Amino acid sequence: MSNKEFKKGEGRMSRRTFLKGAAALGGAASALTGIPGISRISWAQAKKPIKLGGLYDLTGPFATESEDQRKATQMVVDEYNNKGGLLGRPIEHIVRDSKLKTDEAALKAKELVEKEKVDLAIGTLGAHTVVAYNIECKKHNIPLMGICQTDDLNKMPDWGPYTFHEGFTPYMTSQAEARWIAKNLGTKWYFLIGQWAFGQQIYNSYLQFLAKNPGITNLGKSDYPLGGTEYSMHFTKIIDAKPEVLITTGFGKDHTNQAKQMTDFGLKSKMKIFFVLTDLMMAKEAGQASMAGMYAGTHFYWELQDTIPTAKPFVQAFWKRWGRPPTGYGGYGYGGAKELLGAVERAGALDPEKVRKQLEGRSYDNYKGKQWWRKCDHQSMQDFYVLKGREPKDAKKEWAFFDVLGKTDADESLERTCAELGFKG
Amino acid sequence: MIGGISYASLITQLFMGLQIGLVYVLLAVGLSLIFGLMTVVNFAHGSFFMFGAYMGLFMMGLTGNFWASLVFVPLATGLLGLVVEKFTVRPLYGRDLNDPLLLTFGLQFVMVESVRLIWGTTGFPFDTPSALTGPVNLGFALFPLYRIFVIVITVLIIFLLWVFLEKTSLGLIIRGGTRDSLMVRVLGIDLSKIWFLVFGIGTGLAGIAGVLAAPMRGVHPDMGIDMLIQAFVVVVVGGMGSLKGAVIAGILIGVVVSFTTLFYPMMGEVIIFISMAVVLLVRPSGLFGEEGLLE
Amino acid sequence: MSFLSARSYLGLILVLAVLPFILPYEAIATQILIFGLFAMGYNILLGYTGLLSFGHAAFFGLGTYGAGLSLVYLKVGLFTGILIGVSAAVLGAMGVGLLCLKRKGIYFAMLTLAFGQLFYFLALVVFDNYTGGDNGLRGVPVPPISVGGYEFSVIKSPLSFYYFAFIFCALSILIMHRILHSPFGAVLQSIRENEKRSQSCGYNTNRVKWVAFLFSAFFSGLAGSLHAVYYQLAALNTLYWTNSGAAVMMTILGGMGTFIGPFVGAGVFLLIEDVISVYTTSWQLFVGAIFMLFVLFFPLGIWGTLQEKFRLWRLKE
Repeated sequence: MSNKEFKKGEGRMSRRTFLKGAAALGGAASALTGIPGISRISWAQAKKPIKLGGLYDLTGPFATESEDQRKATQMVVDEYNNKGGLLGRPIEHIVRDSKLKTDEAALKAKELVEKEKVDLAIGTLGAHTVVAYNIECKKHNIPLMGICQTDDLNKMPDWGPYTFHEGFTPYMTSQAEARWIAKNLGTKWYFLIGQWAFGQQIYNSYLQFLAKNPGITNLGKSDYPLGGTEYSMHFTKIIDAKPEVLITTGFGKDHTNQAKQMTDFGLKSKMKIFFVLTDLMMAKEAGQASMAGMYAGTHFYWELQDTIPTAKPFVQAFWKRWGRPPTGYGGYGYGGAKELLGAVERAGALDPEKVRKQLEGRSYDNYKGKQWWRKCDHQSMQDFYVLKGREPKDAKKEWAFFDVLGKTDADESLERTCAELGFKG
Repeated sequence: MIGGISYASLITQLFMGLQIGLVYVLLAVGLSLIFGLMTVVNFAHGSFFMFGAYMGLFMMGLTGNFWASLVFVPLATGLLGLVVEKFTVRPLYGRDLNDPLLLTFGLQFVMVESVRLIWGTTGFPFDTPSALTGPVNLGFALFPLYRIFVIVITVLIIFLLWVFLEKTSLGLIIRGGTRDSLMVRVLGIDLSKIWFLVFGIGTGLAGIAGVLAAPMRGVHPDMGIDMLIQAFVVVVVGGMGSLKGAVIAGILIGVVVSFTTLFYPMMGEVIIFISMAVVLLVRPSGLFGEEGLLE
Repeated sequence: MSFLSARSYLGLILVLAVLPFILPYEAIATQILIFGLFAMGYNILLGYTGLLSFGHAAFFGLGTYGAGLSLVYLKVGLFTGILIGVSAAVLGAMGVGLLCLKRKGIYFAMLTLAFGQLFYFLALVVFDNYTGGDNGLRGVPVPPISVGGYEFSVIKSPLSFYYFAFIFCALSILIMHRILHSPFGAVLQSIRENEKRSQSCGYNTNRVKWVAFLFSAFFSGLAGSLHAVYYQLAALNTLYWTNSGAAVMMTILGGMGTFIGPFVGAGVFLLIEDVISVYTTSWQLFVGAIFMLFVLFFPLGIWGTLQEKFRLWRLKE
C-alpha cells in the first residue's frame, strides 16, 4: 500500500534532524571518551541505518526512571555509532512515549512497527505498556528486549520466540526478598499492597513463599490505591497487627509518601519496614531522614561499583554524561541494550532467528556481575540486592543513600519453572 | 472491641480522619469561595496548591525559615492567582458559564508542565521545621507534632476567614455578591474588583494548604492533581459556595476515608465518589449549599 | 446555513475515506476515527443539549470492556461483540442518566465524574479477575467475518481495519446528522437555550435529556468497542477521568456549536499530541496552552471559526 509522507515531509525531516543530532552527540561523546571517529565519518553518505525502536513511559508518574532507560540505551547506541555502527551501519534510536497507558503503547508500537519499520525493539517501564509493545513486535517477528518488571513477558501467552526479558519478574523479586527477610528481619509479616498488577503479582508470589514456609506468619494485608497521597489511616491497623516486618510495594511517589509518613508516625521504631523495590531518585525525593533505617530491594545500586568490576565503567560513564549516578532502571536499559545490540553484532545479521541463538543460554556480565539467559523463556537470571537506608550522619557523599546489606544470588529456582510458565521440555 | 478493633484504635482512626480531612478543608474552602461568588469552577486549584508547595521550597532554600515561608507563600500564590484572574478568567465573564471551567482545565496542564520544566520531574523532600518535629503522646496513640500544628493552624485560618466574611464590610460585600450579584452592582459596587480579590484569596488559601502539606508529603509536580478531585468532592458534598459546608464535608470525608481504610481498605479510594453520589442524590445542592449562599 | 456548510458532514466522510493516505501512518488515522466518533457522540450532549458531562469515559469504557469481555469470555462473533459493547454503554447510560440528570450545571458534571470514577474502580479492583486490572484485558480475539460468502479478518492489515471502522463511522455520522437535524434535535437545542421555555412549550425535558444521554452513550460506546477490537485490548485508562477530559477538549477545540467540529477537534488534538510528543515530553504544556487560547480567543473552535469566516466572506459577495 502506498503511504504518502505527511504534508511537510515530516518523516524525512525527522530522520535528517536525528542524524545531525547524532553527529553532534557523537562528536561530543568522542570528545569525552577520547575516541576519534565521528568527525571522520561523513554522515552525508549515511548508510541505511539500523532502527532501534525505543518505547519508554516518558510522561507519567515514573517518568524519571524511564528517562534513565532511554539515556542508558542511548549510551549504548552511541558506543556503537562511535565505533562505526552496528554491522557497519549507524544505529538510529527512535524514541517514542507510551505515557504509561496501554492503548498509547499499542498506538506507538504500531507507529514504530508500521511507519518507522524498526528492526529491533526495547522498552518500557510499565508492565502493561511493555506487553502491549510486545504484542505488536510479535506480529512482525521483531526482537524485543523488555527492560522492566513484569510477570507476563516470559510466560505464555505473551511470550514470543524473539521476546527477551532483561528485567526481573515480580515473582523472582518476591522470592529473592522473602528468603532474605525470613532469615534476617523476622517471621511475622504484614503487607501493604498497591492496587495494580505489579502489586498483585508481588503479593501472590509472597503468598507462594509463605505456603512453602510455615514458620512465617502472614498477619494480613492492606490495599492502597496508586497515587494516594495519604497513608496515615493505614497505620492503626498495621500497628495493631504487631508485625516484625512490614512489606510494602510502594513505588514512585507512593514510595516517597509512605517513607515520609511512616517515619513521621514512628513506625520505624515499632517494626522493620521493607520496600519491595526502591531506586535512586525515589530515595532522593523521600530524603535521607525518611529513608534512614528502611530496608529495600533492588537489582542494582550505583555504589555496587566498589565491588563489581563491570559496574564502575557504566556508573562513571553515566555520571559523567548526565551529572548523577544511574538509577536501577538505567541499568536495565544499559544491560538490555548491550545484550540486544551485542547479539546482532555476534550474529552478524538482523535475522531474528540468528539473534535469538546468540542469546539463549548465554552467560554475560555487562554491568552488575554474572547474568545469564534461561533458554526456555528468555528470562535474564541475575543477582538481587537488599539495601538499608543510612542514617543522615552516615551518609557522607551525595547520592549515597544506602548500605548494601546482602545479596541473593541468581538462581533459576527463584523463578517459576518452565513448565509452570507454559513451556514444554 | 468492635469488629476486632480496640476502642483505642477507633479513636486513633477518628483522629486520623480529622487531620486528613482538615488538609482537604483548606483547599475546599478556597474552591468553594471562588465558585460561590464567581460561579467559576477552578480546575487549576490543585496547581495553585502545588505552586504553594514549590514556593515554600524556594523560600526555605532562600531563608531556611519555615515561618517566613508561611507568610510568603499565600502572598506569592495569591499574586499568581490575581494575574491569572486578570488575564485569563476575566475576559470570560458574560460568556458561557462553563468557559472558566474549561479554561482552568487547560491552565492546570500549563502550570504543572511549567513547574516540571523549571524544577524537574522528580520531587523534593521538604523537611519538617525542627521546632515541630517529633511525636506527641496523645494517650491513645503517638501523633506527629507537625500534624497537630497543621490542625491548629488550619482552624486558625478558617476562623480568621470567618471573621473576615462575617464581621468586615468587605466580607459583607462578598457575601452579598454571592447571594445576589445584581443587587450589589445596583448599589454601585464594582463587583469585578471583588472577584479579583476573591480569586486571589481562594488561590492564596490553596497555596498555603500546599506549603502546609509539603512536610507531610514532599513536593512534586503532580501533588495538586491528586488532591484536586478529592477537593471537588468535598466542595460538592458540602455545597458549592458554602464555607461551613466545605469545613464539615472535609472533615466528614476524611473520617469516612479513614474508617473505610480500617475496615475495608480496598474501597479506600472509591468511597469518596460513592459518598458524593449518595449525598447529591439525596440533597441536590450538597449538605449546606443553596443557590449562591455563603454561610 | 450555506449549501456547503449544510453538506459539511459529507465532506468529512470524504476526507475520512482517504485519511490513511494523507497521514504518515494508518494507526493515527484509525485513532482519529475512533476518537472523532467519541467526540461527536459526546457533543450530542454538550453542544446540542448544553450538558457538560465529565464522565463520558464511562461509556467509552463500557463499550471497550463490553466488547472485549464478550469477545474473550463469551467467544461471540465480531459484530455481536461490538453490539454487546454498545449495549453495555447504553444500559449504563440508562442508569447513570436517570441519576445524574436530576441535577443541573456543575452538579451534573460532578455526578458524571463520580460515576466515571466508579466504573474505573470496578474494572481496576472489583472485577480485576475478569478485566485484567490495570494491565487491561489483553488478547481480545477478532473473529473473522463473512461477507457474501467470503471470510476475512478485519485486522488482516492496518488498512483493512481502518475501512471496517470507517464504515461504522460514516454510518454513525449519517445517523447522527439525521437525529440532530430532526425535530428531536431542535428540542435538544431549545433545552440548551432555555429549558424552562422549552418546558412551557409542553416538552418533557427530563425525558428528552435522558434520550439524548442514551444517544450520546451509544456512539461513545461504539467508539469504545472499535477501540477494543483495533488494539485487541480493553485498556483501563479509557475509563479514567482524563479520557473524559480528552473528549471535552477535542469537542471544544473543534467547535461544539457545529456538527462536524468535534471530529475536526479530535483530529487536530491527536495530531498535535503525536507530533509534539516526538520532540518533547512537555507536550501537555502545548496542548494545555493551545486549549486555553481557544477558550479565550476562538470559542467557536477551529471549525466553528472557519465556518463563521466563510459565512462572513460569502455575505460580502
